[in-house]
Amino acid sequence: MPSADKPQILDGDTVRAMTDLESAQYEKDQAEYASQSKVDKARAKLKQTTLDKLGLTAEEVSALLS
Amino acid sequence: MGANAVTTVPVYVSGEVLTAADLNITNSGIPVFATTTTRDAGFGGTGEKTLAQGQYAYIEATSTLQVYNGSAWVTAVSTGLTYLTGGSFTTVAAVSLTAGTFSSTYRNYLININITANSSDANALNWRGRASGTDNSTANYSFALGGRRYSDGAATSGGNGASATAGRLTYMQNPMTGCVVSATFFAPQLASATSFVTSSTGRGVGDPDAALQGGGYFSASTQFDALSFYPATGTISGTYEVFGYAIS
Repeated sequence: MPSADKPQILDGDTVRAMTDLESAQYEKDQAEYASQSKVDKARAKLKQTTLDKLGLTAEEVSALLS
Repeated sequence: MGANAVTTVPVYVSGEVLTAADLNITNSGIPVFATTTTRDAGFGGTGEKTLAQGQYAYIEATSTLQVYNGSAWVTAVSTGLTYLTGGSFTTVAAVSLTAGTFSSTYRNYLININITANSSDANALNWRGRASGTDNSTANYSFALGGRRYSDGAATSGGNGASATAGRLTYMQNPMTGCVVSATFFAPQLASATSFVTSSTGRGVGDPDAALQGGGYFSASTQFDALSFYPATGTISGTYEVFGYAIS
């Protein structure tokens, strides 16, 4: 019976819970993902703010850069 | 075991009276075995043929025709690509290929992944090399992905990284209605850097659906015998297949 505590992984033909080592890496990856998501959201917000200041739509910016 | 399957390849001695049963063992031409285990047990025993170069065998379990080259059984008909492993997965956080998927038999490998569902959209699909059952998360991965949007052909990014702890295969859509990846890995089993190229459907943050291409490498001279692929967060469902490119 797979453990409900740790994420499941397909290892070859077997679905199993992550080992302690894998789980530790998974937690580390999730923290990195959360941090990167904040950066991406801030960048997207800055992009939109800049577009608003310029008064251009995303399509118009794309046309300018293409 | 099918109607043609046998469990022995007999050898007959001079003067021996052959029965119909004896002849029925050989009348399928190439001996047919249920598995490689029954194949191995079918040679070299008492009253059985000694295995030697040029011997053919058909394996029911894998539907493959094999030939013994004097030291090992190999696929008899090279098709350029040889299916190695694959399967389906449902709501898992990672998929790890069977240890030994990468071997000295092949140099380069094709991996096709069809993601049918994910639990978190706008999400990278990453990979890590694997050796002896452990993923390698050292900061030796570099990658860059980019492409064009379907709607207007405008350029879009799928992300990039240098000295990262994983490579990236694609960036899954938001919302994701399907995502396919076809990636070739170059020399993962050799003691040299491992490079990869990837082509996929995906999208960058804030952009519409797009096709993404890219690639990268793992810079250290690590010999991988498998790899894992996984979403940056959440779970994925789908199927995958791994093929080896014939060397000659």
